[in-house]
Amino acid sequence: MDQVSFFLAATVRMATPLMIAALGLVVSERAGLMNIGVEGTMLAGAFAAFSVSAFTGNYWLGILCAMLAGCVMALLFAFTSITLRTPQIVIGAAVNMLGSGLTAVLFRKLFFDAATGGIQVATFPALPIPLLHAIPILGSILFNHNVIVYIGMLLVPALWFIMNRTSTGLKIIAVGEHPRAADSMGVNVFRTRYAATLFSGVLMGLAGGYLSIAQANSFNVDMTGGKGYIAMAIVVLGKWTPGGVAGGALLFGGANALQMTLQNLGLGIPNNIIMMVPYIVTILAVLTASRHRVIDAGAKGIPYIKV
Amino acid sequence: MNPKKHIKDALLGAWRPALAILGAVLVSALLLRAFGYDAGHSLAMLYDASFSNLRVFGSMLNRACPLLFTGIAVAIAYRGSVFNIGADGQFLAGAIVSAWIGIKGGGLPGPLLILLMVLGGTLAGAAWAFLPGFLKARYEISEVITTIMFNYIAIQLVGYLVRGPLRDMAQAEPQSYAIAAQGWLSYLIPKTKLHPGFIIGCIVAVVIFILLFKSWFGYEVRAVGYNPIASKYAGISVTRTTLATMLLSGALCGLGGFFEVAGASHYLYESLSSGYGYTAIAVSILAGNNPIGVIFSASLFGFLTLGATAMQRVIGVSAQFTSIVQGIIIIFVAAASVKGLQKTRRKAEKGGH
Repeated sequence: MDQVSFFLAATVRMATPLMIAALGLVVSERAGLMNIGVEGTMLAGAFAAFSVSAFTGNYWLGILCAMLAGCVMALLFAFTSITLRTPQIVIGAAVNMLGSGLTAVLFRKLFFDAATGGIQVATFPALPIPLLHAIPILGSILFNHNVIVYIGMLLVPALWFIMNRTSTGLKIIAVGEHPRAADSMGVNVFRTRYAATLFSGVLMGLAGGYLSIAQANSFNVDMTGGKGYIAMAIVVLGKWTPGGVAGGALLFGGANALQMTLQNLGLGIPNNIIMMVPYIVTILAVLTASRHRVIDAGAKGIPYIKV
Repeated sequence: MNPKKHIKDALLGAWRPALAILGAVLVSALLLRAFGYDAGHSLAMLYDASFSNLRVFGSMLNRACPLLFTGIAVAIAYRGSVFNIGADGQFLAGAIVSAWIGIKGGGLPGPLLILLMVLGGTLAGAAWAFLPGFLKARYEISEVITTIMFNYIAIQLVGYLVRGPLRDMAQAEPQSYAIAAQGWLSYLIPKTKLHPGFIIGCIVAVVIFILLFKSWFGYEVRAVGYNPIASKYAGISVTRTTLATMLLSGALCGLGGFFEVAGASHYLYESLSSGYGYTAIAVSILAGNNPIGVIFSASLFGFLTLGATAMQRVIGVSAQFTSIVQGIIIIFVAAASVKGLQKTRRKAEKGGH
C-alpha cells in the first residue's frame, strides 16, 4: 500500500509542471496561437528561478522571476507573431533555441566560473495542509506537497470558470475561432491575443521554475527534456479544456513516475529503454485523442490582419 | 518577366537574408558584450576557426555536412507544408543502421559494405519518418509532436546501443565499436579530414531542387503545401503526397546520418547529433526553404558551430551560444520575409507590378 501511495504522490508531483504549462497553452491556443516555444519558455523560467533563488536565498522571489522570464519570452513570441505576423511555428522554434542557448550561456557564465560545486538554492518546502494531510492514503497523495502543486490544482477550476463562465473567456475563444467576427463585435483581437500569450508565458515560466526550485534544487542545461512538447501533446489529449488537460497531465505524470519506479526496482531493463516510456505514451495518447473530433480554435496559427 | 527583372529580383531576394544575418550578428555581439565577454576577440576567433588553414576549412565543411542533408530535408518538407522537426531522430536512425551494418559487416568488400550502409541508413531515416508522416497524412495528427517524440526515442536508442549491445569496452566513455576500416570513406584532400559528404550533399541539393521545381512530383508537393483542399479537387492525392514528402525528408536525414558515421566519426556515440535536426530548421528558413540556398546557409552554420567550439575553448563562453545566434537569425530572417510579402501584396492591391 505504501508503494502505491508513494507512486501516486509522485504522479501528482510529476504531473504538476506539465499541467501548469498545458493550462497556459489552453488559453493561448484557444486564442488562436500555436506557440511551440514552450520548451524554451520553460527553460527561461527554470533558470530564472534557480539563479534568483541561488543569489537571494528567496524562493518566492525566484518563482516570481520565473514567471516574469516566461512572460518576456512570450512577449517576444507575441510581438513577432501577432504584430509582425511571422509564421508562428518558426518563431516557436526560435524561442526554443533562444531559451536553450541563453540559459546555457548564462549558467556557464554565472555558476561555472564561480567554482562553487553543488550550489545550494532555496527550494519550496513541503507544505502539508492542516487536517487534510492526515486523511489516510489520500492525504499523502494529494495534500502533502509544496505550494506550487496546490496552485496548479486551484488553477484548473479557476481557468475552467474563466473560459466558460466569463466574458473574458468568451473573448479569448472568439478571437481564436473567428477573429474577423470578434473584431466586428468590438473585441480587440490584438489586445486579447497579446494578453492570452503573456498569460500562457507566465504559466510556462511557473512550470519551469517548479522544475528547478520545487521538484529539484538545481538547474541543468536543457533540463526540461521535452516536457514542453509533452505539454503540447497533453493539450491535444485534453481537448483544449482545463479539466481534460488535468487528466492528461496525470497520465503523463504517471508515466514519469512509472519510469522512476522501474529504474528504482532494478528489474534489469536498461535505463535508456525505460526512459523511452513517457515519449511512447505521448505518441499513443495523441493517437487515441485523434479519434475524436477536436474543438481546436478555427483560426489557429493564422495571423490577424485588421482591415 | 524579362531576364533583367529576374536578376534584380534574385539580388533583392538575397539582400533580405544578408541584412537579417548582419542584424543577427550585431545583436549577438551586443549580447556577448552584455554577458561580459570580449565581442571583437570572439568574432576574430570565429573567423580563424574556419579559415586560418586548409585543415580547419575541411573541418568546417564536415560540420556543415549533416546540416546540409537535414536542411534540405526540412526544406522539402516545409514546401509540402509538413513541419519536420524530427530530422534529428531520422538522422540518428540513419546513423544507427549505418553503424550497425558497418560494425557487423566486417567480412564484406569495401564498395559492397558502403553500398549497404548507404541503403540501410537511407531506409532507416525514411522508416523513422513513416509513422509521423502516416499519422499526419491519414489522421491529421500534428507532426510537430510525433516527430519530436521520435527524436527523444532515437536518442535513447543510441544511448542503449552504445551502453549495451554495441559498446566498445576498450573505451572509457560509452561508444560503439568502430565500423570496419573498408567502410570508412576516404578523405578528399590530403592533410584534411574532408570526406565526400559535403560535395555529394551539394549534388543532392541540386537534384532535389530540380525534383521540387521541374518535376510533376515536386509540383504536387508544392501544390499540397500551398493549398491542400484545392489540390484535392485538382485530383492530387493529398494523403499520398504528404506521406511521400515525409518519407523523402526522412531518407535525406538518414543519408546525412550515414555520412556522419562513415565519413566523420566512424563509430556511434551519444552526442553524435548535437541537435542538427533543430539547427536544420534555421538552416532551411535562412535559405528560404530553397535546397540550393541550403548549401550556403548550412555552410554558414557549420562555420558558426565550429567557431563556437573555439570560443568555448579560449574565451569560455558556452558553445551553446550558437543556439542564441541561430534563434536570432531565424527571427530576423522570418520577420524580414513577412515584410516583403506585405509590400508585394500592397503593390498588387494598388494594381501596380
